[in-house]
Amino acid sequence: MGELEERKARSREFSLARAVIYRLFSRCFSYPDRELLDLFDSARVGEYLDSWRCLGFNSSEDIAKVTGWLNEFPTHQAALDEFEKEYTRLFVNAFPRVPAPPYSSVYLDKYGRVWGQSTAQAARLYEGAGLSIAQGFRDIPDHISAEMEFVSYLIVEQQKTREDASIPIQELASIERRFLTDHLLRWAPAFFSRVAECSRLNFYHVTASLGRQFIEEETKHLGR
Amino acid sequence: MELNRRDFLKSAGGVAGGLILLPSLLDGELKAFARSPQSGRPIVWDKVLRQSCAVCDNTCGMLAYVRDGRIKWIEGNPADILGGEGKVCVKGASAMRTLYDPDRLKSPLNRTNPKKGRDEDPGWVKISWDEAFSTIGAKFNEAIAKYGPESVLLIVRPKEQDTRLQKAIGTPNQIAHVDTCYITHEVAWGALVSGGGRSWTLDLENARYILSFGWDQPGKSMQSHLQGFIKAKEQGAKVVVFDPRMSLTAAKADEWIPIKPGTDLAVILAMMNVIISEGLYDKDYVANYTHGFDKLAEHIKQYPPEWAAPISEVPASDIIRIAREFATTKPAMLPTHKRDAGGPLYANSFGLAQAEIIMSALVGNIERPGGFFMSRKPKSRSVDEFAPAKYPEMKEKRRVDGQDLFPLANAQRKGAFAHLAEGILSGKPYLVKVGLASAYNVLSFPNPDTIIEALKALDFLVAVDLLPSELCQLADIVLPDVHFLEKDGVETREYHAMWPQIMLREGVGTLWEEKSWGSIVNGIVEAMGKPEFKVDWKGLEEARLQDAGTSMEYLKANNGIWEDKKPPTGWTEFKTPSKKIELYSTVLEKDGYEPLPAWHERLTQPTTEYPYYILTEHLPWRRMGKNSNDPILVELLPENFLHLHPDTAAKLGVKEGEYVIVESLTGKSLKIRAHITVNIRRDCVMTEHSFGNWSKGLHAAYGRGTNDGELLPERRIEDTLKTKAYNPAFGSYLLDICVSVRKA
Repeated sequence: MGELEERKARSREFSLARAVIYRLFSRCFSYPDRELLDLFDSARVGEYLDSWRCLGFNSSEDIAKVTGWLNEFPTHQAALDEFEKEYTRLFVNAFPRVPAPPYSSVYLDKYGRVWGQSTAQAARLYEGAGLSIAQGFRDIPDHISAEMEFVSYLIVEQQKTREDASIPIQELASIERRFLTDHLLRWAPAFFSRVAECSRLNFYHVTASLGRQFIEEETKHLGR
Repeated sequence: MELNRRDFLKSAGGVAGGLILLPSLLDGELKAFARSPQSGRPIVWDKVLRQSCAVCDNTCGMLAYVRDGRIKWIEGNPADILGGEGKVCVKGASAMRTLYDPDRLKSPLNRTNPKKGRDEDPGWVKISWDEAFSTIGAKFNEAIAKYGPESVLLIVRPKEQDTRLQKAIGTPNQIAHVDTCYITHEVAWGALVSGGGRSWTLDLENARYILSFGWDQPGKSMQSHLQGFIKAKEQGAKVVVFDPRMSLTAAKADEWIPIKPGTDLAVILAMMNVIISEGLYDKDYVANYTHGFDKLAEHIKQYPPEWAAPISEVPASDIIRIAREFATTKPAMLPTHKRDAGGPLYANSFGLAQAEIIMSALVGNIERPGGFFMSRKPKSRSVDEFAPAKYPEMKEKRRVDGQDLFPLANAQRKGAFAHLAEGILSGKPYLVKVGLASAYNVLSFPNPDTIIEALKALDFLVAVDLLPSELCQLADIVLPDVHFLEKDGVETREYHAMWPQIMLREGVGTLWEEKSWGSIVNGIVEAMGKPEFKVDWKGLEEARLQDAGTSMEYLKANNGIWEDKKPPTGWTEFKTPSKKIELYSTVLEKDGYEPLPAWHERLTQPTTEYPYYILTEHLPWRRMGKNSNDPILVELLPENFLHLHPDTAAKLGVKEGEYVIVESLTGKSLKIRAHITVNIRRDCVMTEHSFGNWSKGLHAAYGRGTNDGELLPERRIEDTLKTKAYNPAFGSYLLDICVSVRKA
């Protein structure tokens, strides 16, 4: 490999690692299912541990903690029951109240309602990237899991060869930058802090803490 | 598993032959997104949606301005000249803040904590609609098999979806709040005028004299009443308001008469005495359209103004003067609505509702311009005509709230909140085991603690609502209802329907997984193994548009409104046995009730222990649970106050803004701040309703102010039966109670 190719490969590696982590967070903050538990099966964590490492994080201890903790449940179903309860409490409806509504407008807009100006901002950028909200996604466009999935999609699309790109790569790169700096990075820290603070389940505490660190790195990275 | 760096590079996006190799995490389909705009859920970016407001029942035509995908601004639809006339009140204009409330119920929830109570976390977990329906179906069927269909309790409004569910189950227990709201007016109108139903259409605009006994709809900003009131005032109408405190309507009146609470009946009887003895009634109208005038004339002799004056503390000279003005200024109107003095506030309120109709008939203003009209509706098929089904026979006719003991009230099939707790907790006349409550909260019940105990005693409870209310907190399964701004469809005007009108609903689409009440009813009957009771509610709407001679296309092309615009022709025959307005009611007589309104005192009077009458006020910007969690409306008045006269405050040693303790025989005490005002009688105190939420799920509303309902007792059948002769409506005499007040 020449120096240029080496640099290109390293850049690609870095980008895809970011995409993997964004996608991982998207999964972690979607409604929990078996697929999510499987992600923390010790046989599979390698898939993204290297992505963490590639980004300069040593998260293996944290992930091992989650894996070990999951293994303590007698059955997958028992684990899933706990996940569902805590997800509902943290993000859907709860007593005394939902501690961490997973929507940008709650953090960015006056009065903290849903479907605010910032939701529109996100949805416009999705449209700009040629996407719309899937029929089966019965939630609001600025849900944290959608936003995280969107960034990972943008990164992957930019890595595809130019021939199959319906939207120019420069355009996608610009959407990514705008989406992150004007939108996601502005509210994700507050969201992750609330989750880390309020979660009664080790899993959400760990992933939200990792999320906060990751977003901090992303902010620095974009600043460069 | 440890990957080495090379493997990772390979799996994480090596390029082979121009194709990208992705790590498996990135390889699957997107979950939140569709890759083309066409196949995704459409977002309405910029549009004006035509809507019909559903915050209150006036259904004002609305224009909802969508900018950037969200409703940003709401104003009245000028084409709706019946409801809002191009205006909406603050409740309607704020409706989108409840739509976009992050605390809204989003998907079906299942309770995981079996313990229920005010401070118990239900431990909700999100479940699918299928799971929710099949659990509900199984629990309902189990209760029916063991205890009979009457063991299923439905705390629902008497709308057609609710009734379909009730009839499909075969339970007599369909229970709404009307015994605390307007049942007296409804039963009185049914008996004296309409054979069922009441006038919801008031031609205030053309009235030249408006006489109110506690009627305060302009003060509730109900548009059809408010706009009519304003026009009447502009055209010089005189307004006289009897109310123990200065309501907003009283503040705009020519005269405010601070009557002693619960004595309006004495005043109106005395006014009739004046009108009849002086021959001021409309002789043509009375001769042609009423029945029993002679009996009334004889009966009313016992109630001269001099008799009413000491009871009501209204000078006899005022009673005489106003009676004369009312009878000689034409048209004169005596508007009534809900929870005014003729609403079921006192044990004698039915008599007042009855007397108000008779007064109106004496001056000839029922079904005449400037008076009351029955709502004009389009031709429209019933649910049973559209989707005929053989309902199970309802073998058990007795009801858990005891309403069957009051046949005229029972004919309305609307039930009684105030008597429900006793029925459930006593297990009489039978056991009620499972329940479903739709869009009702425990805070709407008098003395919420008893209904909470009663609902906790059920084996299984389902709650359907927009927001996680206090009742949801007690439920085993919670189902999310759609907000009206999310809904497509049509709305037929019920209130102020001077002529038939249908309005279009254009929604923004559901934000989460909510379902409309009609689909929920379909889901439940299907899960109960009774799919024959499902109704294609959309299809029914379409069919009704056809019945009316219009269509969705017409509505869309014509400002969202269809109307058969012609001023109503007044009835000349009425739906009573005599075909006339029955001043002397043969219907009441037949069921053993007093056929003519007679004076009865309210049940409770001030004592040394409880020296003050209690009054409540519904604020014009609040509408029960429908908007109590709106942060801006909460800011308008973050907590409620106890309004006291300066002399009362001085006697108690209370200053403006200081806390006082209010107690009643419910044993509850409320700590509330005092507001000192001359706009109230010295023997009364008043507080605003719709405060004191304890569901922390409502985070703007939580812990704000106190709930006046805590002071109001639930009712016991044994006591209410004592009022039977003069309370055929089975009203809950909600405010027939006195309280004590002391400095905190």
